[in-house]
Amino acid sequence: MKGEIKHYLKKYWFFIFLQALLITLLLGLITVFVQFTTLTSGQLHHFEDSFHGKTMFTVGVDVLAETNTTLYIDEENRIHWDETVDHSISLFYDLLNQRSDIHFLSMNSQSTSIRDFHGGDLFDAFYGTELMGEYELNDNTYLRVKAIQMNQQAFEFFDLELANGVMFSWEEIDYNERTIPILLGDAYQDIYEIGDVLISGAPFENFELEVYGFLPPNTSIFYFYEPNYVLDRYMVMPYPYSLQAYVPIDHQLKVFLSLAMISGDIVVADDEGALAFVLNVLSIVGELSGFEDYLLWDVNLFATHFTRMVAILNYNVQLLQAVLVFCMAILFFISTQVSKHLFKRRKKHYQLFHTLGFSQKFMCKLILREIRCMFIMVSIFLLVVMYLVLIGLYPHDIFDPAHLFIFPLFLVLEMNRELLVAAGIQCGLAILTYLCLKSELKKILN
Amino acid sequence: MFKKFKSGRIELLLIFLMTFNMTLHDYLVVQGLLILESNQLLTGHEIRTNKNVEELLSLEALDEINYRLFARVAFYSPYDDIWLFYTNDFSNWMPPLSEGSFFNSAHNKQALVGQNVALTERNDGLVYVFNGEAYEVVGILGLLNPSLLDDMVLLNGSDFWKQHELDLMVDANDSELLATALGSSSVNERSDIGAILETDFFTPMIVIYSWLISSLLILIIAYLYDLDVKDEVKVRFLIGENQFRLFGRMLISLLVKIRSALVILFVGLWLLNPRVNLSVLGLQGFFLLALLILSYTTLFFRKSVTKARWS
Repeated sequence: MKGEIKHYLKKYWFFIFLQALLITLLLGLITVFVQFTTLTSGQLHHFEDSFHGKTMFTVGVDVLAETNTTLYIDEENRIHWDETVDHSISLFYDLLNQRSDIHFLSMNSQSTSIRDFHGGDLFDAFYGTELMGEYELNDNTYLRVKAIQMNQQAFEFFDLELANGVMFSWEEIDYNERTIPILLGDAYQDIYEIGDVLISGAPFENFELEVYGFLPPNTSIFYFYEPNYVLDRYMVMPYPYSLQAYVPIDHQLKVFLSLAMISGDIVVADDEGALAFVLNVLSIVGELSGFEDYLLWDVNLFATHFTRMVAILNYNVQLLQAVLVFCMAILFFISTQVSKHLFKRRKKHYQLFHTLGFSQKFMCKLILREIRCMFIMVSIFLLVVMYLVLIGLYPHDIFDPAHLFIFPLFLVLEMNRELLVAAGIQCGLAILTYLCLKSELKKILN
Repeated sequence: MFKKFKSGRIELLLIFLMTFNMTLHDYLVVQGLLILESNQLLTGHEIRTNKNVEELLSLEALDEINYRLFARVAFYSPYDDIWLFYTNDFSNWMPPLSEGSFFNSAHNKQALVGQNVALTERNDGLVYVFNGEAYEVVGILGLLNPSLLDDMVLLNGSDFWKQHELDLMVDANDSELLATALGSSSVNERSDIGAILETDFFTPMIVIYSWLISSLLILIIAYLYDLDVKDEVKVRFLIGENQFRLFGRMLISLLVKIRSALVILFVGLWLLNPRVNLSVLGLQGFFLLALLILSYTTLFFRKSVTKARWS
């Protein structure tokens, strides 16, 4: 049998090599599709988990309300109020933020001036408009960079996480110390480092913004009617945990912060009584805090955008699955047909074996060995491809190509799913090819 | 007379190869349209500019690339999301449409509208009225139902942006060329599904894999064909048939196989969907033919003839 296998390999080595290479490539393509489908399904589930069955209402301050007698705007468009209003607004925010039956997402995309900014024009909040560019103030150069301020509930609602760095403690954020921990978007990775301190200008005059970490690339949130508002070039600034705890040293900043912080989105379960429920919550909170000059409007676009985005993702998943199934079918067809073709060329050998009195079992074993030779070659090619992928994916201090002995470990740890998919498909393919050739053999012998 | 390989396996392999390529091509086209749909027809590399329309149209560097110009007319209508549109090449780009066709010239006042947009009926068909002017509705935006483009109105041939100051966005398939032409970079603040699904990583991988697989499969088909005909080539050469004539004979036999595969596929696809775009298939057929002949001639035919000469 060994001699026969040797002859087979010697005569058809080029063909077996091509077929093994083709199967490896098709397996690679299927693995890419599996990864792509997994990622798309993951995003779809993430969307559904985060937004399904929820609706959003926006609450804001009615600064022009006729009943509003303690809040007034001066000639420079600055808003003033007395201590009573300050207390009631702060309490309104804190009560709303502490309720467990709603998500109160307080977010505001307010640009922040940064002194001697290193990032360049692309981070300019007014990029592409007449207002873009740096400005001078007290012998310092400032740029108004994109920033988004948000509370803990918003941060957690959108599942924001760090690519690297350390998450700050929300309870310890204290604007009185004029130091705010910040997180930077992915585009900042090569510009600032963790621990760097940026000095801000208006509206957070002379605050020290300390970099705690970076967001992963393409981090996005639902903001201002945009279902995917990308934060890559934004700095994320946390709001103080409690507005009441922030003692106003700078009166205007407190006014600005209070107005910004109580303007947020309330997310509740999407049912018929959603509006009545939110109105009831606001009425209770307004009564307890003494602040009732708020506005409320229904953001029905939230549910609409969500449904439409899910429809697109769903369609993409279905499309991917269809293509994946088709690729698998093609892989199986091509592989079996090519093997069949080769087998037919060798049918005289098998007829001779039959004439010489060899059993059918012996010939099946021979076929199995032939198939095994090809799949050993496929496995070798696959290992080479995975090795190259690991070299490409990881820096040399993590995966040193010279240390081959750690390759199996990395393979099991990092590419276990790909390995399983490839192994599963190979087994299926080998069995199918064997069954095909066995039926061909039966035809020849009969 | 030598028994020819008549099982049709080569034709079958060719059909599967073409179907495989067509499926991947169609998938990438649909994915591109979905990305456009999820990002209000923008690629995500669009550039906001403070230049006005006249300034942009007079830029020679910009005219050298195929670009699209968009301007959102905010707050004009409480219901519709109105965008003005211009492109210097109407054949190079296509938005996702569920019905109708794309604009054909910059001079025609035409509109593409979403499914929720209210239209006015006139004698010559449906129109969208904007700023006192009627725009002929030529298509419905959005591949899916519901679609993110359901409230969108895309207007062609409008002079509105010449009379009003609007924020303009310039977009092109080649973002680097666009940035060079405009002298500024793209700042992406909105994300399409391409960004969250990392299509920038997966799409080139799929394209590279499909190219490699197609090339390799062509090589295998050429090899299979050679296995089938090499004895015939050898004998015909030995009985004195001219090398070029022999090559012509083999070429015709290959052509017949490709033609059969193409005809079967054409008919099959047409039966499945009479509206299917067969131009891709035709193009692929020619390409396949060229590659197959090239690989067969360079790798196998010469070898068979040389072997015959030696024997």
